[in-house]
Amino acid sequence: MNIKAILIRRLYVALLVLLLGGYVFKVSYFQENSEAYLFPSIVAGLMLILSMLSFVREVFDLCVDDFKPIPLIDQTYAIIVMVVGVSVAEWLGMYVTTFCILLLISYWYSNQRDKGRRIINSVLFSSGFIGFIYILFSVTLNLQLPKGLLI
Amino acid sequence: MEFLHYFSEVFTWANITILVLGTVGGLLLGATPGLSPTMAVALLIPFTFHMEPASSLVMLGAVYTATVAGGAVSGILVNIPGAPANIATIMDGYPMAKQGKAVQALHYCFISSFVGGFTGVLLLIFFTPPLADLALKFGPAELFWISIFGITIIASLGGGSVVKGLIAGTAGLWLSTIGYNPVLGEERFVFSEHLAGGIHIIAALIGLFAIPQVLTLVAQSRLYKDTLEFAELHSHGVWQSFIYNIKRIRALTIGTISGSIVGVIPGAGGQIAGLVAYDQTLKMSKDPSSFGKGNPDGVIAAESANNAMVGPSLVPLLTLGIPGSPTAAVLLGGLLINGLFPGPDLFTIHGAVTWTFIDSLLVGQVLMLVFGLLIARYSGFVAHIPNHTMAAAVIVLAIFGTYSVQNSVSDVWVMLALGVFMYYASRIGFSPAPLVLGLILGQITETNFLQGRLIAGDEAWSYFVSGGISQIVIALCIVSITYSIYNERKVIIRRREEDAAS
Repeated sequence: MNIKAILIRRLYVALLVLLLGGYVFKVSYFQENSEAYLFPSIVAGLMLILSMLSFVREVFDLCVDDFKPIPLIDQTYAIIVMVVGVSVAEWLGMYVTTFCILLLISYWYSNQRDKGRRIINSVLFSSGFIGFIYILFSVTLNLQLPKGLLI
Repeated sequence: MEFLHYFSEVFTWANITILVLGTVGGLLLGATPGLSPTMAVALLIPFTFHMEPASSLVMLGAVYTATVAGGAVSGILVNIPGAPANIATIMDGYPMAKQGKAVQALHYCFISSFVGGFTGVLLLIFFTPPLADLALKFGPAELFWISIFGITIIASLGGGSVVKGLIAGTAGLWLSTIGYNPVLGEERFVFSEHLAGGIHIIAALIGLFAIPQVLTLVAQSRLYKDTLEFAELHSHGVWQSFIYNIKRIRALTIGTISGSIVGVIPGAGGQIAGLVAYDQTLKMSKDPSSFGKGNPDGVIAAESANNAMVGPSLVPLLTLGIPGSPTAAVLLGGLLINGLFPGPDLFTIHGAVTWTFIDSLLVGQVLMLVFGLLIARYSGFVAHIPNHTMAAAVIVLAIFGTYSVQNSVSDVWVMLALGVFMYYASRIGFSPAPLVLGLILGQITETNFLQGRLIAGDEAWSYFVSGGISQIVIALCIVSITYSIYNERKVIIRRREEDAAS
């Protein structure tokens, strides 16, 4: 990535942080019961000043580039699996959902080339680990979990 | 010598079992590449929620100590430090392993970790009570500034951008105000039903430390196996290693002293301790050219330092509520969840719990040495655990652990949201440590702020800035920020010079 592109990316991020700081200040400061919101207002004010400072530093290139690459495609799958899993956990049951999360993540991200072995390894690992989780949470800690349609 | 009275509490069946499990588990977790001590302790907090306060702290302390030492295993065997604290260890540990001396390096690592760690805990025992007495002089104004100092120092000494650290700290403070005002009881910022009770510390800790690590692990999962070279493990006599370690007294002493000093400095952490000790040992060595090529002194100095840091890092935590490292910040969460507030009360009202915890750290060092030496020969298998398997396991533990605290799916949502947000924030230069500390200390800070205002009435400003202790703490905040800005400027200038030269 060339220097100009890096600078523009950093500037956009600083602008986003500034907008976020502005929003936090707005929701903290403009409230009816100002006494209840006094502390968050002060904190939000400080946050806004700091995000302005961060923006100015980026505009005048007064800081180092501390950005790391974001492998969006690699992570999107994991995030979707987690979000969908938690969404259906109460409906389907916690153990079934987390078994599916284990299976999907360990299969998708495995670097084994042979698909058959990959599936067998993922199923074995997921079954073993969910058994461990069952012993830990349901047997030892006696945790009540949402059972849903399945388990 | 009050600590001697509580040793028997450590040796109850429940506590010793927890200590052994925590030590072995911590060693294995630390040995797994990509699992940091901070994440391990954060993931464990939900389990300790169901235990007695003393037992829960025994568990957290054992895992904290053992993960720092265990982190050297993957560093030595596969050149990936288990934790940032082990970065200095791999400089000579991995070259030693490549020379067929992996087991020797692991022996030196556990023996020197024991020496450093034991000394560090002794310092904790002797320095904490007098400092805790000093905290008796603190009123709401002083406590307010101490909290601000804690956030300031962890934000500014994190090594990255000072401004970003401070933004993260204020964001943490602001997030802590979601829920109810602690004095007026009014509901604030409840944007969603999931935030009705505010952000639970455990959900935040797990989300901010575990989920970003999971996402990093999955991103690396496909690169992992093909690119790593695993060192072979040949047997080596433990007594020979002991005798060798004793002979390397200089490296051991430098490491222990450096680690103890760095540990007391809030926010510095094991990474700096290890690097300072390594650097000093190299400078004082008669053969500096052998460093980086498998000199055992490098391993001994780095490992004694990063474990010597553990005890002293708890001194400012237990006395003033200022954590010495990100893991200590998570431990602070563990203390608060158990209803234990840092300060003199820890050594008076809650003396039994606190001293049992501190004594368990001492016993934990011995166990860490014993189990570390026992598993050294066989520890390689842990370093072989693929990233995708570890990532899947951590996700499920994070979900169950968070849910188990209040039997609430809302907490799981909060954990996930904070975790995904933190992952992206960390990629653009923000650190989770100040955010977590802001969240943990937020309620204490606000309560002291509001109490101070009630006491002072119209004279609030002068109440908060006029006291002698307050002024010292304010000055310390300014010094820490100024010093960090100065350091950041130096880094910027150096990088620009390097860029210009290249």
